Amino acid sequence: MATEYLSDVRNELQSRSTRTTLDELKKKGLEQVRVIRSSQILELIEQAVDRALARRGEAADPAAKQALLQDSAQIFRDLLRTEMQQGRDAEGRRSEEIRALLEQLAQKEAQVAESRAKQAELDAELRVLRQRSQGGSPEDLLDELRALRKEIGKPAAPPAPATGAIEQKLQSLGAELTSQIERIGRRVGIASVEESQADISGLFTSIPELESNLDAVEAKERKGSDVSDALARMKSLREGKTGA
Amino acid sequence: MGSADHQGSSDAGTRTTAHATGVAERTPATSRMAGKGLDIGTANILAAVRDAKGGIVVRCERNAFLDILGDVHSRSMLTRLNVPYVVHENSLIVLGGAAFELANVFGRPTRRPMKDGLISSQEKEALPMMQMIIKKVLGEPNSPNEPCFFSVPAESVDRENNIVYHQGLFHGMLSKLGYNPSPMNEGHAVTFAELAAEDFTGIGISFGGGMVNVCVAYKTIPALTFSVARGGDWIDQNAATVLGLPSSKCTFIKESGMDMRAPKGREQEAIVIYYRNLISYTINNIRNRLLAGRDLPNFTDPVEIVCAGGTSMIQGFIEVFREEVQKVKFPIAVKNVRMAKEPLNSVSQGCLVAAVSSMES
Repeated sequence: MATEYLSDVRNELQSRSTRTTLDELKKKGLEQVRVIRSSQILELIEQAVDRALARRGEAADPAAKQALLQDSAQIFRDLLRTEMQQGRDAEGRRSEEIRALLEQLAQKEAQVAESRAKQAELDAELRVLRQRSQGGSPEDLLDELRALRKEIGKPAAPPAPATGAIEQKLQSLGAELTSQIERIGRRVGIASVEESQADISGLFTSIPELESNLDAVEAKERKGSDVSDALARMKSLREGKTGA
Repeated sequence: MGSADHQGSSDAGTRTTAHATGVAERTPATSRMAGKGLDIGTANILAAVRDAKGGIVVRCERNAFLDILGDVHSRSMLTRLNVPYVVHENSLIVLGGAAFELANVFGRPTRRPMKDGLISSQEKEALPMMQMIIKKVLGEPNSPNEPCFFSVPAESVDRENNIVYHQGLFHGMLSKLGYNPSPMNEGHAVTFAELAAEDFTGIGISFGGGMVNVCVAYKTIPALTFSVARGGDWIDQNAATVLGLPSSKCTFIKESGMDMRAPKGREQEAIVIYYRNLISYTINNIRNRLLAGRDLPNFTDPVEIVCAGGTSMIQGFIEVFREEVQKVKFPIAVKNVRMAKEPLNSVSQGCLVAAVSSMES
């Protein structure tokens, strides 16, 4: 077996490969790796060539066989170079990705911390409101909501005026609070606004008299229960109130 | 009713002869005592009037109508069958209970002027048709500006509804008919009809087709009134949805003598589930409003709760109601829960009591 081409391949393998420790691999997240020795690679090449020759027939010329082996080794070296380069590039990309993900993770953690802080703040406010409502009444709660709404509706004290987006947000928040106030008020029977009577009797001037046979058709009648007791009781209550 | 205006079609055949003096009713106007009560419900409209001896007469009509072709033959048939109809824009509009019967014959649904306790905004013929139905049950006033108390629902705790428009509408309608109208909360009317022996103190609940109205009263004064936007129609619709049936079928099952305490079959069980839900929902809302309300009177003695309305007329209703009351810790003591003497007439009779009392004060 000619060994020159094999030593070339061995040299190529050594120059293209890198040494690393197991700890380094673990840091990169590699718990397991596949290991192949250079001698095993060399054996594989030799086997591949022998088989290829065997397919062509055993009466291959030794010189031709040698030439074939050298060609194969050359091709393998080229492939190895390409493969190693691609491997290094991929590793570089992976490192970049990991760096980017670590940065995102740091940002998310910062956001989570901020949300937790806000949550704690709102919880504190809710505790205060609950304490107040235990001793207070729905009206007190509604007054607080109304005051809060007024606060939100007030123009900002700092000199810088609210931008369009913030102003819209304030208005929508105010509208939402108003509707909450009205909903709560309805549930506890407190109206936010005194309704004035609307006179819509004018609607009926436009309804014409319609032709019908209703005069000739009797409405169904039935006897109702006596209400004289109720009327008498009502009268006595009224007289009792006025002292008559 | 006065003479009718021409509506376009000039039929040479039958024309209704208008009476000059007034409505032809069994109880002549001259023998009736003044003051009337009107229950304007989603399903039924009832008017309570007094006869000369002080006895009560209640006239009832279904709050529905149906339009059919306005040809000569239809008109002749309706007149011959004594079916009440109105000529409107070349159609004949059948009113009241007859509309239901004809609807079955034609396989069409009736049109309802009211929905969920209030005048329906989707039904453009609602106004004129309601005016005709109300005129039919109420009749002409005994005297100009005769007092007439009419029922109105309270604002709902669970839905936005415009009571102002509804109230103003019927106030105007009754004024046009020659009455002196006054609105009265439905639940309050129940207390007037049923709680005389308790000095008009207690809780009156009207379970209607579109809504349940509640009034907590103290010596005739309504201390708390509200409504919930669920009623008999809600039960029918929900039971129909789960059963895959038309809601009219559920109405039929509900009104055909079933007992809530012993439902038979899947349909009745579904109806009972929604009934219990309605009752429990109402009771819990009463409790919450009593707890949340300020300036409520101090009920030193236990009070009576009275249930009225067509939706409460199902067998076993009051027993189930009592069960649900016992499950809840009521803020005021309850001594009795009972059904109204005449659940269907309570609201109209309560309005009548208010109308007569207003004349005597």
